[in-house]
Amino acid sequence: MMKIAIAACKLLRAALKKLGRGSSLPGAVALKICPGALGRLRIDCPVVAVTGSNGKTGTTELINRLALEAGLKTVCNSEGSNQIEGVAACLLGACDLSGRIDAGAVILESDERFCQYTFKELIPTATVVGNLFRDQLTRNGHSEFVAKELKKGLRPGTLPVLNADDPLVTSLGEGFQRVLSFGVSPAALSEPEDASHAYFDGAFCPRCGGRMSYRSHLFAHLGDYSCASCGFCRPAPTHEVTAIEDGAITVDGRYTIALSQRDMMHAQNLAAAFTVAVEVLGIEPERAAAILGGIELKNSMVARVSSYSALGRELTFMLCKHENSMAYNETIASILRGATPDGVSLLIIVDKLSRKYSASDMSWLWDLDLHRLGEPLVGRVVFSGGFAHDLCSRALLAGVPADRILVQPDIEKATSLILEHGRGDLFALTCFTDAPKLRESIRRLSKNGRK
Amino acid sequence: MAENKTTVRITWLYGDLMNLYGSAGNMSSLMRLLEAMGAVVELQELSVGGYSDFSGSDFIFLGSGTERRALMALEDIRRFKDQIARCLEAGGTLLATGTGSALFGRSIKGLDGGLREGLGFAAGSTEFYEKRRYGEYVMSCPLAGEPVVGCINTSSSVRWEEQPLFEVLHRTGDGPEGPEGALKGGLMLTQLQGPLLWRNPPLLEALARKLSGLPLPECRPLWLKEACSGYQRLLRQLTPPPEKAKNA
Ligand SMILES: [Zn+2]
Repeated sequence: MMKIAIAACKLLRAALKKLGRGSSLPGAVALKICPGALGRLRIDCPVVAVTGSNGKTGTTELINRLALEAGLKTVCNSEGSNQIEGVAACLLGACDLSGRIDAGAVILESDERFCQYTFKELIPTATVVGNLFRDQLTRNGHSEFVAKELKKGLRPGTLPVLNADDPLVTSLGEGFQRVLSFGVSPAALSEPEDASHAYFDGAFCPRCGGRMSYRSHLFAHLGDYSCASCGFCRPAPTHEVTAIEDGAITVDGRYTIALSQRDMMHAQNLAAAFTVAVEVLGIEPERAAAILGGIELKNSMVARVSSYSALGRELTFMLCKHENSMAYNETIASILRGATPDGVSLLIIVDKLSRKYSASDMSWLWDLDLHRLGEPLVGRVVFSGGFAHDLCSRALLAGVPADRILVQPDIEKATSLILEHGRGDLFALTCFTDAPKLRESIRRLSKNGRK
Repeated sequence: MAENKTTVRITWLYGDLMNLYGSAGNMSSLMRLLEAMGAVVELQELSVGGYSDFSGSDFIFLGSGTERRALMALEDIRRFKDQIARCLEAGGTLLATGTGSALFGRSIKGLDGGLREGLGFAAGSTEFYEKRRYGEYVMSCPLAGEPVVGCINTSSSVRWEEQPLFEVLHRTGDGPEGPEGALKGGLMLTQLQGPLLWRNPPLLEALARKLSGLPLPECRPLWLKEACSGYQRLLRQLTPPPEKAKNA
């Protein structure tokens, strides 16, 4: 059955490729034919699973590119789905008919809740868990639920590679004899993070429920935490970022990695990739650092930013994710960090949520740091999309001055409002679900505006 | 002058523990509306390990948290049982949303199978399970006189043997069916979670009037007007068109 499954997968993949379509369908079909196919693969090289709420695609890409440039042949599902069908399509497409994979490293991005199915028979050599944030709660319930589901996917035999700065992630290592960890040293922070947030998920110990204290904060609930009741605390990471400067980070006090933008999430991902490279793939640390510094990510913060011009103004579009407050909060924080004395104006569009799960959930709007739009450097704020009025009400309750806010549900009209009335540098924030509407608006405005 | 003003005493329980799904939006909008009505709001926040006598409160609120945190809150809140009873007897109002509502029933069965005694203010019990369910609703709400919109994001089943707080009019998703919540004197319990009051200005206004005895402001504050626009939009969106309109 295994051979038939592999052949079916390969044939379907080839056919779909001809049609210009990548899909997890070949994997789904193969798993129907041979449900235990993933466990029967013969893989002699390290298998690295990458999961977590934010940044797993970026970390997967970093590890894959790092392995490739270190001369390893890799198999990676970076182009396909991160659920079991996508992983099956990737692996069965890459093996020979006997089920043998000829590679130096297999790197698999996995949805947090699907690890338990994907890695049931195929036990990864190492499993990287980047972080656990509030993400798509209509689908995921909450982070503690996701952590519990994810734990089922960390089976004996895998080596957990955990983010030491995230207490919930660190708690996943309980019961394992050996755990690797990575993080950003509190000493690396020149300026402590002191902005207030709409919510804080680090107040209580994930192990005993006691009240936790933080010596320093990185962002959200990440930082240097400890629980006085049970002694649970941030472990000393296997490898950690010890300095963050303009243009570079230092790992373990001596390995320098060039960095194009100060981005804490990316620094964390680099530390994760470095740890996997050195501890799991056997790459020399100097070499790993040099290669990592040269990688321009398709999925980085920088790549999620694009600039447009229309009506004589520049508008910087920053891709966020609806129902993921971290994505918005970090983006707002980075805009304010980089603001010049001329200030900034923001257009925030929330129109369509994930239709499959939710059309109307607004709980996440209360997790947004909208109060920061009341800071002095913010000129104008335009809210748009179906949720424009809700955003406005929420921002007013958060203390944003009313004379700063414009509400325009129509996205094209809102785009023209920010271009005409925005002060300082202009930014637009929205999700990939609503991004095409923004781009189309800009395209029309720049065409009509030229005359 | 100040002594002539109406004071509304509010106690917010476990705001840092039960902080999921925008529960804070209930407090934020209620306090702002009461202030706009001319009331003086005295807010008291109480969480694990803290102590204060809040039996004289006009309103007690408890929001939604993870199942684990709800059980943590349950263990802590027992020491306040008498105070809550006195508050309700004296005509106080208590609203608990999402998992917070489970604490006030007779029992909670946890994922470990263990049965924990609840506060017992309402007849009914809750059972936590592994599966998660999510549903979006329009429900009738006698207190507000107009329907409420909201979401239930849960991994528990609740059975109340009290007068329901709401009746389900429309439902999408796989959330629980049937009558929703419990209403017993001043006790209002619902699985609807998140910023329920903020999302539903009619309910918010009805509650603010009940708590303060004051009339609504002549002109709605801007944030409330905006919340009303959002409410109207979602009410339209979540209400299926009548058959006639469909056939036309
Ligand atoms: Zn502890």
